[in-house]
Amino acid sequence: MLIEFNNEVKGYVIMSAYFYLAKMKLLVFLSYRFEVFTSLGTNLIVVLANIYLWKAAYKGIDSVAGVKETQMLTYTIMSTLLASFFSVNIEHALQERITHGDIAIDFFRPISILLKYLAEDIGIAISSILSKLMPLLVIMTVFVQPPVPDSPMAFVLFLLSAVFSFLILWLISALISLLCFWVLQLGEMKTVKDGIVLLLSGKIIPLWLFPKKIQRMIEILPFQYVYQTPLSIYIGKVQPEQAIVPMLIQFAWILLFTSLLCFGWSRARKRVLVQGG
Amino acid sequence: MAFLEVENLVKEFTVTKKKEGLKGAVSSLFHPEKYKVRAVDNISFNIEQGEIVGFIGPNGAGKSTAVKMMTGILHPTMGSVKINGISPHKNRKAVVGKLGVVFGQRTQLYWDLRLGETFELLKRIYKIDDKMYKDNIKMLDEVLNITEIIDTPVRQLSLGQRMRGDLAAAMLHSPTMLFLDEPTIGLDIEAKHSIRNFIKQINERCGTTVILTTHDLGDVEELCKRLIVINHGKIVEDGPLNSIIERMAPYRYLVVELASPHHNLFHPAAEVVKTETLRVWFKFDKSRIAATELISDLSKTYPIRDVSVKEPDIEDMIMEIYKKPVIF
Amino acid sequence: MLENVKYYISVALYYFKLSLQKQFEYPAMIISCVFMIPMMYGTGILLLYFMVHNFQPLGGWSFPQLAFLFGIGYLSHGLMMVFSVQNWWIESYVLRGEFDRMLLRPLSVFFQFTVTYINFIGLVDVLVGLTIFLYSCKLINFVWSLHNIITIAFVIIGGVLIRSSIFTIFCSVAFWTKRSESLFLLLNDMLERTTQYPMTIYPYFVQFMLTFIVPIAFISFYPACEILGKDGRIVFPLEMSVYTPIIGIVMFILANMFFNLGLKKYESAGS
Repeated sequence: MLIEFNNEVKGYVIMSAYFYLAKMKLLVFLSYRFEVFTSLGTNLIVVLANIYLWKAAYKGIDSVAGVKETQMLTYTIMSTLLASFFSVNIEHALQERITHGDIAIDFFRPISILLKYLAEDIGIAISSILSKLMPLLVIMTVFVQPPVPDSPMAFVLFLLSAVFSFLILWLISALISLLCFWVLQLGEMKTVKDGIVLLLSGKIIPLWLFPKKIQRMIEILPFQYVYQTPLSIYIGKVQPEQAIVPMLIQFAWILLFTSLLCFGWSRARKRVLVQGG
Repeated sequence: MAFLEVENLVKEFTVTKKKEGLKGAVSSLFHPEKYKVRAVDNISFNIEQGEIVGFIGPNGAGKSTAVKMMTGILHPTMGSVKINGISPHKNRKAVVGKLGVVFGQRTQLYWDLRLGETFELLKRIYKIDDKMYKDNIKMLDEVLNITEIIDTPVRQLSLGQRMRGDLAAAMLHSPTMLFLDEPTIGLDIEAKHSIRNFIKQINERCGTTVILTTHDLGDVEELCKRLIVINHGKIVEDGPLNSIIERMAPYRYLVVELASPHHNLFHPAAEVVKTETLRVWFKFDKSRIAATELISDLSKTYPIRDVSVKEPDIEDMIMEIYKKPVIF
Repeated sequence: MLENVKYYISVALYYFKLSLQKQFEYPAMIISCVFMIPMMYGTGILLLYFMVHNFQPLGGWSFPQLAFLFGIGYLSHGLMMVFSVQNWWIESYVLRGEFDRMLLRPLSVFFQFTVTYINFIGLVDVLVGLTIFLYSCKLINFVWSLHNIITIAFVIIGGVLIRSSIFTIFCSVAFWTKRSESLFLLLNDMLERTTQYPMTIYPYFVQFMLTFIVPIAFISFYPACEILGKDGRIVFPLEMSVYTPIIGIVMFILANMFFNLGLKKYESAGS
């Protein structure tokens, strides 16, 4: 009886520890008022430039690959909103701890360091709803067009798919930062990854504009499931009844990456504990 | 005209206040609250060529800010600085070419490269000709053993070695004045010793005027004939070390060794500050009671084997400064 | 005078040597940049290609013309990355009090700041830009006459000066606000989007602002308009490409003044 009670308390304490971490990140972020405004400005510039680019491309053309101009503008706006929401800092944080040798301490903490970083990243993501996503959404709605989903069902599926996307992106980053245990000074793997995601995820150019052969090659990779899958569902390029397949693939990627991460993490742990960092 | 003249120097900083909690964070986003802080508050003094002057005071007293204004890094809010008659704020380039500056917490050396690379760069920046460069390296080698570390990348140097490198870098162009901000911070005894020796040597050999800020009382005792004590941005004391101690700590200690243990020792004009089994420390004000009088009073009532009088040291003086209330 | 120039050059060259040595201490950084940079900018040019291919010429600019515009803009971007990437760090220089060191040396701080770092990795950008530029030159049958070569050279030098100066001016804001690193990213995105696409796809007031307030349009748009014979909406007397280097020099002087103004506000934080 006593043990059960203790576990419950412990569970509560740990949960609130994660909650606290997430809240702290939110507070820290809000205190950077300059960054709040400049990142809004950056996002605005990027999204407006893309919008004018697509408008110039669609001038006098009704639809390309079954996508109309308003759908494409919605795609671009939503892509920027998603990007402002997806914040992943695990690589940077973990690399710092590994190079300074602090990681050995983390293995003995009651809360898992990986979950700690996930909690922090979620905290930042939530704070960016307030500081980045909402202002952008309002400005877009007033000055460009409201990014309306294709149907209520599309919206619901989009939300779920976007959460999957966040997890896939986060897991990719976590796996890359895990490499740090073996290759110190991995340096700028993060920027290489960012470059690949930029090109192959459909974040800027939807993959249906690529030549067919290249499209088929990209489909094997996980990247298009980060941006293109939720966005296509949102604008109705992929109808809700067709959405189940890509979403299952998203889920499969999450399972695969999670198991890889767990495996890699236990190897890393052994490596650190045996060699002492 | 003194070599360094500081007149009514004031520096104010604007600080933004952070509000607490989530609500505070959001409100600071739009209405940040600001207020002013005076880091240096109207200080004036002169320093003659060839002096070694110690700047002391607690953390945040304004020492570093004052040094940064004297070297031209910071512009004063009010007041003026003149080195050899020239203001470093109006004619920076003319003044700093003759200054050497070392910040103990920071380095001017290139972290990733060998120490010699920084020297080579400085040689070009300060237009040091080959002969002067060679002579200076030779001189610096004698006092700092610089050739022993000149080919090591800076990041591989120990703290003490790095400080030797920084001091050498500051002396390469034979400055007439050297500013040292906590040069011995974090160093071990041996490294401290070699750095103090260096300061003494260059002062004697090259006649370099030295201003150093420090928390290390050893530095002050060994090097400085004159002290400037700063607290809360103001000069509290300025003068020779001995007379400052005299003024700040106008008391003596009488250490009494008893023949047998005795409790509740008492004297109306002195205060017991410390007791060991057979030893008792009395603190007394020498203007109220002479040492001889105190000894004879005590020996009448207590079994005394031996007595000694102890002068207050610099540590006692510093404690006095910290205790002193601030008058605005 | 000559003595002085020699002095400045010898100091600058030694700074360049030190930055080169420093960068070779971090080979992983170099390797990843060699991969990443072509990818980042490959995305930009691919986007244009797919758009023209799947849709139509953008604002009347065919793909070869767009590539030419992109190439000129990207070349000056690459050179800016080589010579003045340190604008990015003004914020951390201010926060960590790194200007102390420069203020203590008997040389202009702006000069020291300008030469203090040469980002040799930026040469990858230059190389990518050069490839795109030369490729587009082939596509549009660019005539390699002496006049055209000199024009391009002046346009690129002017473009580098305009870019660097804009960064210096905006990043110097850190002297007052203690923050500007994120401004660098904002400006970088803005410059990218406004020098790689024809201005005519944007509303008139945007082009007006980018011509008369922040003269970004002179970096690549107006020169490309002239060389390709396109309509630039706003018409100036004289050859368009004359303006780029002149505006570049004016901007550089302004940047120097603004930087020095900021330096007076420098608070030397950090210790």
